[in-house]
Amino acid sequence: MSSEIPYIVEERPDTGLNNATLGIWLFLSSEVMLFGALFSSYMLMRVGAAHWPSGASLLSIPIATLNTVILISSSIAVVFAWASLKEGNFAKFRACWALSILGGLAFLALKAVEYNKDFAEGLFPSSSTFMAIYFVLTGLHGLHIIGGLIVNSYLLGPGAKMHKEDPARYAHRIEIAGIYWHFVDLLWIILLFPVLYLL
Amino acid sequence: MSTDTHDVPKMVALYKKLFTILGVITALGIGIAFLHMPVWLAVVAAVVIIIVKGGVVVEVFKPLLATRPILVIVFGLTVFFVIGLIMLPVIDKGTIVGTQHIGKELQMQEKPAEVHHGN
Repeated sequence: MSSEIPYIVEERPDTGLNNATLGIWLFLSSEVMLFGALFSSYMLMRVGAAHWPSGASLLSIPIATLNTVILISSSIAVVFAWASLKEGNFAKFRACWALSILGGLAFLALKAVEYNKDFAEGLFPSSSTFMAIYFVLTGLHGLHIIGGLIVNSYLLGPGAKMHKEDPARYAHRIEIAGIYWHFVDLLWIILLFPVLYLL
Repeated sequence: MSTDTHDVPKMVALYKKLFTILGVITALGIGIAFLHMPVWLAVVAAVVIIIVKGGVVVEVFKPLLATRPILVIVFGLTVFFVIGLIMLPVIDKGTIVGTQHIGKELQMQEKPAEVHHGN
């Protein structure tokens, strides 16, 4: 009897997806619910508050804008990495994948600079409801970036051995990690940046 | 992302289009940030920006989703529950505790009763 898990790379006949693809979409669906709950809390507090500060007056829009540009570039680098791997250009894949990791690190570094600036100005989670939800949302997003960076670094380093042994499976892992990375980037671009900084 | 090799250039073009549109909408959002709007208008603007950006993502990936009915179900349920999650607390008066509305009611209760002096 074979102990191999079926449908790792090939698609299941019933769902039309393989295990990991369906798994990542279900996981991202739960992530949408998590951030949706926090966004719901934000809306409720904002609508109910007698006074709500403008994010633009407290936070640094230039740093956040730069971070948005970095994340968009990082996502594009992931697309190019995946495309290179599919076309069999492993060297180009590694360069693009490393670039996307660097983008993630740059994002975290800028976020650290921004947090330091906030603390220096006396802005802490306890300062106001706005700052509390700001730190919760951006902190949780930062943790997701760190998680993505750990996985992506593993796939670039020790995990890359799989490319020689089972290239189809490795390409699939890159695809799944790429979907997660796009989600984390889109979360920032669609939800966090406009809600916290711009309005 | 699709797994078929012949789809690679198509997918790359799709992602480029997506991130270009998102970049443009983000730039518009930054412009809006410098307008001083009342709270209700700011919340409406935030929701519109989020819906437009989310709509762009869904629109771009619609052809991909159409070939995977299970993903349509997953996305549909997610959207349904997220809208419920956001709307239910907003429309439920019981969760307005601690907000300005209750504050106003308390202020009314704490007002000393008016004394009528009859002649």
